Amino acid sequence: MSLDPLLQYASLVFILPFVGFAVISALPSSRSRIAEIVSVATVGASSAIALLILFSEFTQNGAGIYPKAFQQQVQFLRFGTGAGAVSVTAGIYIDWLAVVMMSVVSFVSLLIIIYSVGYMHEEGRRRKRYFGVISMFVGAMLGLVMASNLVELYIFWELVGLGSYLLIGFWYEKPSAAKAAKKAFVVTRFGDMFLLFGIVLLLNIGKHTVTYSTLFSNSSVSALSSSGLLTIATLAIFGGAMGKSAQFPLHDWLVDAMEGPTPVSAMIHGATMVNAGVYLVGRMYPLYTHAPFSSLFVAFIGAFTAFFAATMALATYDIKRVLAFSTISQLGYMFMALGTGAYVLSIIGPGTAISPHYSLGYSAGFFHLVNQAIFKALLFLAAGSVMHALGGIQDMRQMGGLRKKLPITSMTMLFGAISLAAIFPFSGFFSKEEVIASAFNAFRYSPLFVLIWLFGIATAFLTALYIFRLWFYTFYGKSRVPEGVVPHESPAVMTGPMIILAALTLLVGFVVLGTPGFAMAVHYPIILGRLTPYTAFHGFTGIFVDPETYISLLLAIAGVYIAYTVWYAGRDISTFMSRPAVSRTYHVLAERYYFPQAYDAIGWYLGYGIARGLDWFDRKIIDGFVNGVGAFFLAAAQRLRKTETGFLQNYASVIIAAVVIIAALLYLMAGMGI
Amino acid sequence: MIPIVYVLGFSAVLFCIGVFGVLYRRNAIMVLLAIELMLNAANVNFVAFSNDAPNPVLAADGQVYALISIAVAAAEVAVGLAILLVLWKSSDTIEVNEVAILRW
Repeated sequence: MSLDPLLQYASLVFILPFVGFAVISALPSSRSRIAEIVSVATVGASSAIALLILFSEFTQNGAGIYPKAFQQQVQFLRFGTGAGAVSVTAGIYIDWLAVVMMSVVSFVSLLIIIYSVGYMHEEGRRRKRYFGVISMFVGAMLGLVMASNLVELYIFWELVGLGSYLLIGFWYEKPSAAKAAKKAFVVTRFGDMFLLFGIVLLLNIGKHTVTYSTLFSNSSVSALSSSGLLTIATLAIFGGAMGKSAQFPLHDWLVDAMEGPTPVSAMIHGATMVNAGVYLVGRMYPLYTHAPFSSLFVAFIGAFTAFFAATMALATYDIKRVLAFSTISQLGYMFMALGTGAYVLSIIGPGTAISPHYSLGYSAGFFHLVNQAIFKALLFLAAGSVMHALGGIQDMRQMGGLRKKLPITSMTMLFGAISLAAIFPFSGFFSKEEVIASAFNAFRYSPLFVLIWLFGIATAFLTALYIFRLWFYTFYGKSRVPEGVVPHESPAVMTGPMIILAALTLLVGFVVLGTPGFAMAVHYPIILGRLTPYTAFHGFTGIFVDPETYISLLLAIAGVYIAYTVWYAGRDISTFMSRPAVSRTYHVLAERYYFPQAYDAIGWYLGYGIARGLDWFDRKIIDGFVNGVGAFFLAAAQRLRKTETGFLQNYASVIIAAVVIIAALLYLMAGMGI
Repeated sequence: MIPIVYVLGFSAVLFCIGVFGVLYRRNAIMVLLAIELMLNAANVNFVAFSNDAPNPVLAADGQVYALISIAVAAAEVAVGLAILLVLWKSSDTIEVNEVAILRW
């Protein structure tokens, strides 16, 4: 058993929000105030437990969860009997990855829920529904990261999808919100289909298990690699991650998901949903490190998405959509790092000489997830605060000059922006440098990583440019706020969480890199066992030794500088923008590369084509068969009814003839001895 | 004792006369009478086998069945004649060819 008594209560972390959901569901909607309290209290309690576990593990160097993960199991389902039985257990599996995810998810969610109390105060009775669903959403995400096998993970995975549907469509009377909710659900379901396929495939190869503790054992992993289907299984699992984490080409739903209330966006982008995909790849790392092609695919999709989404962020005026593109881009970074790290590990194999940079991809991707959760939640909350101040305006063309009116919002958002732009000493700097360094260090294994690295540094430049475009455009320059709107700073219940998150953006980088316990937490366990914790990580000082750090840092600063000259100093760019090539590019970006249209067209033609084919099949084959049977009997009856003459003696003749024939047959059969 | 084959031959002849009557007579009363002939052919068989039985228990079987058959025949004639009476009242005929109304 565990050395840490707190771990015995770990399952409360995901159960409590569900309890909150149940309690809130039972309340009458006139009691919205109580719903708020229940939601804050249950998520708060779960977050407190998660953080206590986190700190207790840090102080003990992970004694309870490392090298063997802490587990609690109950049998859940059983199919068949005897030796061939498949039993599904439900339970929790807690290692460093789960502990850190639990803490980040529950704590950031708690801050967002507290913020929602202020943000949603005008919603009246609907707050009950909001707080109920958001508790369920948090519970589902926590269940997902704590699950002990893939089936359990899949259940929570779908619950997260349901929660996102309900929250994005919170204002369901708005057609655009209803449509966005539907899109989010359908697109992520499309990815989930692959995940389900991957899980079923894993159940059918190797050791026929999806329980982490047995799935990740050496014998199971080698059985999987020798089956030859590991690449397909890992690609299918990544398909699920692509849907949930909005990777190209399934990225577009996340942009439309901005139709929900802003705290929901913060929730989906920062604390919960989109992290699920990254977590899944991180969780399946023992498999990815044996599937070089899949890892390379993950890295490529990630790098491309990072760049692709960052370009679109430059061409939108909707403050929330800029952040949505930014999320997609940052998630791309995480996949890029995870994929790169897994590829490197799959190439070097279980060799003897272990170098710290072997774990760089995993550490960087995971660390960036933590940082992104914090600064993206912060940016969304700040954007929500701006919208709140302006009575719901989302268009940056109607903002400007808000620096003085919203001092706390603008300062906290600046923290988030610097962190996102990855400038020293904010947390985003450390993790993004690790991400890019992981690609840089992978040059020696495959020249393809040059391309991934170039995507990475180009994204670093674009990220700084678009986020400071947003910041300067919103808070500086002349006020473009419409007449009659009086901006006002948000109440303390909203600014409080923002200030806490802003402080975290400054602290997390130093804390994680500066203390051995924290550095262990983001480290890939298999390598960690062969290194001392301090040399394990690329490290605080390691970053500054690496020359390529300065390349991406300079690019980021250049991005900030360009944003500064254009949107702060007011340099005229209209002649540059009016060049045909530039304006054409801008148009393509503003139209999101025509992806929404392409989806619609594919959906329409594919859906309509299939529907037409099925309609033909239904009318001609199914109906044809049924009608044919009817017509056959009608025609047969038309002929056969002539035998019904009504003459008594016809019938009698037939009966007697039949008796004679039967008698003759019996006689013959008796003669033949049958 | 008369050999059973003769009795069976007789009953077969009787049965065939009955069949002939059912199939060829147009008068419904004659059809009924022909049916009676067929039934009685069966009764003759019962009695013949009873007479030929190896022990008294099996002999009793044949006689009992003959009696049941006679009772059934009586009941059947009663129903048949009632139908004919109704038929006569409704359509002034008891020719079986003329009452072919249950047809296509």
